[in-house]
Amino acid sequence: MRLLAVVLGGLGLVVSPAWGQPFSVSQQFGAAHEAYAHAQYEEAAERYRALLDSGHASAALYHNLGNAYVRLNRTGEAVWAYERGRRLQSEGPRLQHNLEYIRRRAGLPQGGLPPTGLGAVVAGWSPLVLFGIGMLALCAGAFGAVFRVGPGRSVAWYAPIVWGPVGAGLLLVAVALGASYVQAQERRAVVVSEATPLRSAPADTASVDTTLRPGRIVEPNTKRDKWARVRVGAETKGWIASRALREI
Amino acid sequence: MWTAQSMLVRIAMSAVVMGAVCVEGGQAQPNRTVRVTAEADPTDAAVGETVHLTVRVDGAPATVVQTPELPSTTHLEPQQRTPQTRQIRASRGGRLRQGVVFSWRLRPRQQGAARIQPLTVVVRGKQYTTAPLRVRVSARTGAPDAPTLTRPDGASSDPSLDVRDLFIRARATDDRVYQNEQVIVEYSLFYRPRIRLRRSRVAGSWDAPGFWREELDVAARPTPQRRRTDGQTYETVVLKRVALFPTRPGTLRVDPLRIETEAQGRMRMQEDGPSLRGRFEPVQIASEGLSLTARSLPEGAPPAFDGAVGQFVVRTTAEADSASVGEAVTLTMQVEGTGNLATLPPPSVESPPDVEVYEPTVETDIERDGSRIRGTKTFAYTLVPRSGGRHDLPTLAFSYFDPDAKRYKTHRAEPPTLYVSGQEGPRAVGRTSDGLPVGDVADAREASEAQWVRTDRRPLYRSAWTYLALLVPALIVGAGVAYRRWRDRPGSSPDETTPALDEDRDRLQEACRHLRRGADASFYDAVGRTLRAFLAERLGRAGPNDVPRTVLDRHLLRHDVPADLRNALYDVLDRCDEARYAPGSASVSPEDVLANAHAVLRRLGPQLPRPDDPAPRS
Repeated sequence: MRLLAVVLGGLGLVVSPAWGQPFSVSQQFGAAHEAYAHAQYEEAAERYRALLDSGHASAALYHNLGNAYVRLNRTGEAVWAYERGRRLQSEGPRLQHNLEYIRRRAGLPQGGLPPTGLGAVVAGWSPLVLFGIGMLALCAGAFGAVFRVGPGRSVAWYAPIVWGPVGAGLLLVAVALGASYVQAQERRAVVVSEATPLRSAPADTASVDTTLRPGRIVEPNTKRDKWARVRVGAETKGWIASRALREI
Repeated sequence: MWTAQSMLVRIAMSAVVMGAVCVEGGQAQPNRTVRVTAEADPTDAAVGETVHLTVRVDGAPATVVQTPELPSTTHLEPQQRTPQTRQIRASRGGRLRQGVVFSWRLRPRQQGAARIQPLTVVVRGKQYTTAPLRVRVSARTGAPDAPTLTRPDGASSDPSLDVRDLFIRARATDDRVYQNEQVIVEYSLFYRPRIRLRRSRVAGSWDAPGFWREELDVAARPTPQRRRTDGQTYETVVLKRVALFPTRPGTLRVDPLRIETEAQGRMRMQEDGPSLRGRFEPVQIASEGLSLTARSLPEGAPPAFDGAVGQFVVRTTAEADSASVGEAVTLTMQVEGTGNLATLPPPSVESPPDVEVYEPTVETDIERDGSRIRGTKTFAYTLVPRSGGRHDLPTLAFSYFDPDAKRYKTHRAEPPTLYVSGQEGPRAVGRTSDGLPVGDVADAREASEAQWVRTDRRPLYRSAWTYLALLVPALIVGAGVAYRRWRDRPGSSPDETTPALDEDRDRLQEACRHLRRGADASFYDAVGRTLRAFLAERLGRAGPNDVPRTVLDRHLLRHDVPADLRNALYDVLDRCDEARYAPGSASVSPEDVLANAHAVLRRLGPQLPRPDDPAPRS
């Protein structure tokens, strides 16, 4: 048990900084919030962006940044910010409300671009949680393996107690890593430029199949120079200038 | 008989006369000068136009002139490798003049000076060379006004296939429209029934600068329709149908549509004779370009006009005619019809006193499966009354220009009246039951609500910590094994309750199996046999049953086995014998006997030498 306490304590030391709330970051956030409250939306957006550039993010930050973009009538960037926020807090009702509002206002289809294939299976899974449970099971199995020997209680029960958790742990760890990989491949981007043409080829002279509005969710697949091949709907695909996109 | 003789004479005379004429003709030509000239027409051409190269051989019949090869060219793309040949027979001053004309079609590829190198013609074995030619090529002046069929460089020319057999026709519903008026451009592929096509694909780009474009649906796998045009029967397929809306007045051009395909014509061997299929050859066909004139909208637009052009029907509905203070009421305007719905802006609504009007939500439903773009656009305004009483809601007006009627039209919805109950100030004006604002974004969040994470966080599978964490179970195993070895090191104080060594445990496995099955007699027998086998192995002689207890005691004393261990050994052996010979009378549980056997074996192990150890000194 002492060994287990040491191991868990070490893990806690490793991961605890990620959950901490830096004081200076809160101060910067407060300053940005104050600018927003005084209707200085451009300054507020700048300050929120500076926080992101410094390597800190939160669902609240993306929420407020999206609001600032809404006030500035920058629909595409507002949708981008709200979608980023939803990645951190998928169940937030206020983020969901804001997204629905901005999409209705801009005449955009509600809902994003649903994932396909394995991405649809692992959508919403938390690889970190799966990995954590798997590691706990592995550790439990390791303890059982080490301390399985004892007078009168050794061989009768150690096999399922030891190798069961080890097998389940390995399976969960593998699933967590696989889900993490598949989720990382499921990329989405938002059109942030006004009236962006979707072209049939990566060239300014290529024919325009349709025109995408800012805030439209697309799935970028291939990049070629300054162009990205994107999927817009179930079947619609085309080329779009990379600068018109911002990845979620 | 006479008649027959006379006839033979006549035939013979005719043959002599005709032979003389032929000889004279054949001998007259060589004496004349053979003249070979080349000419390009026109010498000033635009990119994409056709230039004819004509080589004229005067003074020789076609039978003595070898068909020349096309000379090399610069910036000119040959449309055919084999020249068209035309014979010349003319009588001038009583003399028969003969000649032959060869002609090729060339297409300028880029702006600048194009060159045609000298061409050599062999007439009766003698070579005649023409002068080089130059063609000045200017930039493309505009889209071609007729469909074209071209072949890539080096492709063979199938004489059974030309632009009359295979072409794309572009047609616009109107070539003179108003600004933002819908015009449909349709591209149809025409090909003769005898032609087969494969691997067709759109080539190059298509654009319509100055237009807002909306694609209309066409069949992905269309069924060809048979049509007659210009006196010929064709199979036709619609390739593309697009609705264009001019965004500015003036003359606007629409690019031709180009496709690349492989076509197989039918080679006709002779007139009305059998025909054979040729090879599939790659060709590029292009439609004519279109030029449309967009007119400005007429003067006198009503104030509510915001650029809508087409035919529309407007419906306005209010969700309710009564509400309480702070309760949201939705006012909906639905515009349905034919026109550019995508760019239709929401009509502006004046806010009446004590009623908040929020920006509308917009939903657009465009139908692309018809012959024109049509659909519905719905604007839903959220109104929130601030005070009680009667409120006349704002009038919704929508104006558009009808190009068929050539005048502006305005739809005005009757302003509904909203009766509002309650006089107190609203507690949650414009808010849903969840506290979220109606027609606006939720308020900004405070710093205390923020849970910070790093933005440079990598996915789990790319994080080094993930793989380091996988070492934790291995470290636990390693640490546990080290701890056990430390605890079991020689010289450490033995504990009766500590686990036995692996060797001893292995010795007692059979006893454990019997114990799990509940076979007590077999268990005690196995424990006894295990101990005896151990002693026999370590003492180098038979088991304790075979020797008196005193002899065994002497052996154990010789190896300095302490008295308590000897007593523990004898106790286990006695209990095994007791259980074997008097089952049910055991005063100690089998588990305790097993534990004691473990302890005895574990303690005896270091005391008694292994068989390969040197014998102790007596």
